Amino acid sequence: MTLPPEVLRRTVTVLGSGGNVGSHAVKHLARLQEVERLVLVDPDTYSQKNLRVQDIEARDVGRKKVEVQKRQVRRINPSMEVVALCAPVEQVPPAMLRSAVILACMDSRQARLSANRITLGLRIPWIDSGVEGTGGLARISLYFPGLERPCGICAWDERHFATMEQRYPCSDGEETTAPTGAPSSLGGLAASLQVLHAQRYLAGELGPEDFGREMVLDTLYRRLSAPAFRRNPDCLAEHEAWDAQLLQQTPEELTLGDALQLAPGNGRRSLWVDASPFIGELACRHCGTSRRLLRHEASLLPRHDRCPSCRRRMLPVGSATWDRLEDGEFPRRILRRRLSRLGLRPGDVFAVAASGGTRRYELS
Amino acid sequence: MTRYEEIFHGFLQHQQEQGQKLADDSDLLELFPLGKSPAQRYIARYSCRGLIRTTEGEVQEADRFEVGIYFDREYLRRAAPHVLTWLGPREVFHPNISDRAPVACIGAIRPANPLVDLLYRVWEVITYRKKTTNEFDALNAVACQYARNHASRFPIDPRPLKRQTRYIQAQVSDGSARP
Repeated sequence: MTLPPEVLRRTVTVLGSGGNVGSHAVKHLARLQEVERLVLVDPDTYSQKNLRVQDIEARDVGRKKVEVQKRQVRRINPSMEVVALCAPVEQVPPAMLRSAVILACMDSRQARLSANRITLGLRIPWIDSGVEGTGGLARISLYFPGLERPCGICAWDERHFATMEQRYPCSDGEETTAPTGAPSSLGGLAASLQVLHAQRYLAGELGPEDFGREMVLDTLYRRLSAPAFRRNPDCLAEHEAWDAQLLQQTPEELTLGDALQLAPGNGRRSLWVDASPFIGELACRHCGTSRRLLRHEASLLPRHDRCPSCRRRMLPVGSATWDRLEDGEFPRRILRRRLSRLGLRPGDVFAVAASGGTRRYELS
Repeated sequence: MTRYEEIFHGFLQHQQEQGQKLADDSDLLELFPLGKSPAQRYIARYSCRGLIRTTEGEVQEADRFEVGIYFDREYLRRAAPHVLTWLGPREVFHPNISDRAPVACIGAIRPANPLVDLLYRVWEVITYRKKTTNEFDALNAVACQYARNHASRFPIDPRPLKRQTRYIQAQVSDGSARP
């Protein structure tokens, strides 16, 4: 995950790179001389309905969105390095998203929440975008990380959290996101605004003081508004940067016991992964099959949470779920388990705590 | 402690107080906080009447049900399906509770949904005040069919979860005076 600073300064990450906004943004970015490396993140594949609202061709239907975008970038700019990650942002090891700026083109609150967490933790400025089809609205919001700066959820209240996508035990555990219903042109407009600001930031024309605001373009009534955000002292996001120390070891080389020893001070030691509890058991509500494992939630892949009997998605069992792994709470053999077996991957950031406080580490 | 941890700590403290208050005011609920205080994990034991199905297939009333509640560190920002675990009995017979997996569906659990609200909703489900009659949503399709055919039987237990206090004004009389 260690990239030379000069490459990092010319890297841009696009979250939701295959969607209504993202599919336009990627092509604009491919043409920027300030960018030499792109990280594309999108979990989906293109379907027939995407043809009308996204910048793709008929032959792309059925293909992974990130792969289609990667191919298009290569066609525009063969020298650009493209990293394509076909996964939801919540499941990508955070350090893989390290870049000069992140463009978020997502339609889910859950994904925005994750993007906000990662950008605050890794101290990366980000530009969010959104479109509203019926109102003809295109929006971009600029956030610069910092303890005293407004973040992407400073303005959220309980209504925003209440409309978060959710997994229900009685609907096969699948999350649902409503389509934006926005035309391709509106997505293109939001993408252009987003990339214009990203370009100015990369060129040094925008500084931290130009962030913390929003630009909303009302194409129906031809109005533009640009309000500024305020830092909410009771914001539910953790504004503290992680300042993770890079470990030379890979998750294959480090055991849980070794990792716990990295905690400062003495006393009871614990290890956790932010926003991803450790799951000890999965259960299938259809056939009753249960599976014991110990992995952090963000690392669960279909091969872990698909029921071996009926192939449906299994659900985590609350009584076997833990925020933190604490020494003394688990048998000794768990301490000998390699971090890779607990679901930690290169680029993951984990925290350890003991009497001396908390420290974070990034895995190679 | 970060600001979020302070807010979460305050939330947990309030939930424990409110949950304990409800349990103290109830004849049908016992609440057991687990771990250090304020608790993130609870076991709630209900002694209201609900239904079970025996191995012979007979539907009977029972009066001991248990759920586990877990507020993970993300609970104020994201409510995951693992908030609630059905602990028993395994033979429970209800459309919203699986008889195969430790899973119960009490409807949408929003981030920061209060403990008392969850406790009430579980009680409503156990006593059949709330049930899904749609087999596609049901965690137990046989119970769903049963619920449709026996609607007049519900709620199984009419007693309220919270003990009701009634003030009765009484006058002692020697019987000589006419009312």
